[in-house]
Amino acid sequence: MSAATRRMTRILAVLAAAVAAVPAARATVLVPADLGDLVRGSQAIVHGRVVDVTAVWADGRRRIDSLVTLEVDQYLKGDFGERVTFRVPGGQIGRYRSVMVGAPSFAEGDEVVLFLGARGPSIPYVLGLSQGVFRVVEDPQTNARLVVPPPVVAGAEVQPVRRGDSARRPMPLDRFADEVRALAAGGTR
Amino acid sequence: MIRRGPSGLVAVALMLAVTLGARPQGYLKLGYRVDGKNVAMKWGRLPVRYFITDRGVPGVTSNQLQTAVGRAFDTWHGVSTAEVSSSFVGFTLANPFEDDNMSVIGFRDRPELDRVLGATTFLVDSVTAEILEADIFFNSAFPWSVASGGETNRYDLESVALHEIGHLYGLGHSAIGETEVRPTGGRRVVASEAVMFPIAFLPGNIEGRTLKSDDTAGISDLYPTTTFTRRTGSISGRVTKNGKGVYGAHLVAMNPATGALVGGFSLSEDGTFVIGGLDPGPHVVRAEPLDDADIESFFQDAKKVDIDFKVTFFDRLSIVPRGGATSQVEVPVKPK
Amino acid sequence: MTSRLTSHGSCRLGGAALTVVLAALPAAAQTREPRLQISIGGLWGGGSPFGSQAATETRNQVGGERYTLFQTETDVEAAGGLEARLTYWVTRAVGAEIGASWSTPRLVTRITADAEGAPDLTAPADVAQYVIDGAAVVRLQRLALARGRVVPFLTAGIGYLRQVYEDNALIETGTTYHAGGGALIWFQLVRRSWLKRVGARADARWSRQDGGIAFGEKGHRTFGAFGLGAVLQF
Repeated sequence: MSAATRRMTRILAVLAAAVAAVPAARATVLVPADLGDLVRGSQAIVHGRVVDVTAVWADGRRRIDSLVTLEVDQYLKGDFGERVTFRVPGGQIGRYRSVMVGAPSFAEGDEVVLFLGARGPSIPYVLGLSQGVFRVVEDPQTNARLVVPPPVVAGAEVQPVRRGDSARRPMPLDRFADEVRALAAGGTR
Repeated sequence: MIRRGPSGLVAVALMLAVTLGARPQGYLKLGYRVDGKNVAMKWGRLPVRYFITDRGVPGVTSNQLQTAVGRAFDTWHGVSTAEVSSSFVGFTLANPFEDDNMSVIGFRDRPELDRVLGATTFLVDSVTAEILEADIFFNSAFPWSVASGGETNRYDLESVALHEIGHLYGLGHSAIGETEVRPTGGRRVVASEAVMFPIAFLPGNIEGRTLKSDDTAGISDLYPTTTFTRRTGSISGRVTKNGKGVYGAHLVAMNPATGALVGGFSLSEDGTFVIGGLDPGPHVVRAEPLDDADIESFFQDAKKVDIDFKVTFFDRLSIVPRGGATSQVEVPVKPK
Repeated sequence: MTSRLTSHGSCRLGGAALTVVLAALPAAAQTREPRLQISIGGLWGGGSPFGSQAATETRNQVGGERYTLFQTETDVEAAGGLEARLTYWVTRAVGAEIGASWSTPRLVTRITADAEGAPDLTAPADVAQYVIDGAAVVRLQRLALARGRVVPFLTAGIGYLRQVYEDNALIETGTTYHAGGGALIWFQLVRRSWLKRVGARADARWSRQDGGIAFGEKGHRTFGAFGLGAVLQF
């Protein structure tokens, strides 16, 4: 096989891998929050598992949203009942798929901690679009339940958020819950 | 229950339709799932025809909105290595985020979208993979400015429009940026080198009106001129940890001759990455974890993203060829 | 007077002219001086810095310095190689020369001061460099030493530069210039019909490469080079 053919083969393999791996739409412009902002701004903070995702017409059949139902494990703040249904932009009805760039997406079985806002009797929503979503994963080596991403917690001084910092690791779920409860109770940062 | 999309065969055809003729690339592009596979979000036909909602907010009239949006579109059109175009159709009473087969850009009050300055939505025909419309909304809950030099305490509309129009054309986020957390709460951008970084500069700052190398590489990669394809190249490789692939690593290629920074991500579980749109010649390659709480801004599968590694440089210069890709580069990273 | 000059003086003039003409003739015509010369040997090219470049980002403030993510400094390291030169002595003093050389300079970038704590690193890239050039050579016979066995010379030339990165990833081309001098050191006369003399050639030169691997605003690099090799005259 000539050098040119080998190079073309490499390019085609990389092309297939790169395009096949295009991630789903995720994008918007945010005013970012730290964990304290999320705690203070939320009506409820809930840990649970997704049991249903249903796309619905909203706003007088002008747009598609998804209603996500969570089976609640525990509330870290507030109480919306044993099951809570919240709204996220986007979804698919028939052949039409509405994608809001930056909106979180959920699937049955997802274990999450969500920071939910609500305005009056309306269906709750996730705070800060995707900022109010923390995923619960299991460490394959220790089986510990961890929360990702690592939360950003304000301290007494301005702190750069350095990527690769050894302190920036997924937080154990129990410790995350304690941190949230302490902030909700008005504890120190 | 989310309805399933077309059958697997149609999904493969859709992917092929998207991929044929494309070059290897690594810029983060928007996509959506069709039958379990990801399809890139890209306009098959240009110009993009758009309307402007005929409603202003305090400090910005609808005419000023249209002018600022027009300038932002022109900034993208000014990228000499990309072929993109748009056409302003007219003002409308329709709102953005209404699935009405019209691409509408405007202000909207969406209280549930707190902390969201602006956002872009797509309505896609999942059978044909055609983009039916794309809307951009600017959150009227925030104070806006179109002043040429910016206004204190008001977000620069043109900067946010430039970012959202990047999404409209199919670009995802760039991770080339640094943040800090304030004692009074909230995170703030310290610096960034991409308009497509997901967090806005402070009110009054107009630096977001200028495209950077990462942005031009991305738009050129999506809609390349023949010159771009011939004259640039890409770096391809893998990020590995203890011999296994790392999913979700962020990579930056730096040109030591010019200082240009272009980013990419490892988008598959074997750690494969491609950074495209690079000038030929030697580059420094740097890998870092996305552990600064922005994972969901980049990846739907946030659970799979590996953030347990240290920032690492590839130990050789990567030589980018003209019109091709490097030999496979392996960047071995170490756990924290 | 004129007639006496015409007859006797013209003989002297003619003799002087003949002397001048004979002196100007190629040496070989007079004394069978070898015209062709081949030298083969080693080459050492000096390194040169390409300067510093920081990876910077735009700060979230009006004015002020840019944020530095990390620093780089790039050099071409000194490297050895091989060179061959073919010289044709047009006159006793002046020669026309073509040369070909191969060397392996290494491009290195030192990466330091990473803002997120990545350790400093030196990242190299190997280059194969090929030069084909033409030059003029002038032997300075009057300054010869050791009874003519050590003959200094001056040289200047221009050539084609081809630099190939490792794995043939990228080829850069340019123009190379050199100027310098050295000495031909003759060991002995061989007196065979095809080989006249054997010796050594040593030289030092200033070199400039335009194009090729060139960073920064200058777009060229300059460096010193040394050559040492065996010489055969035919």
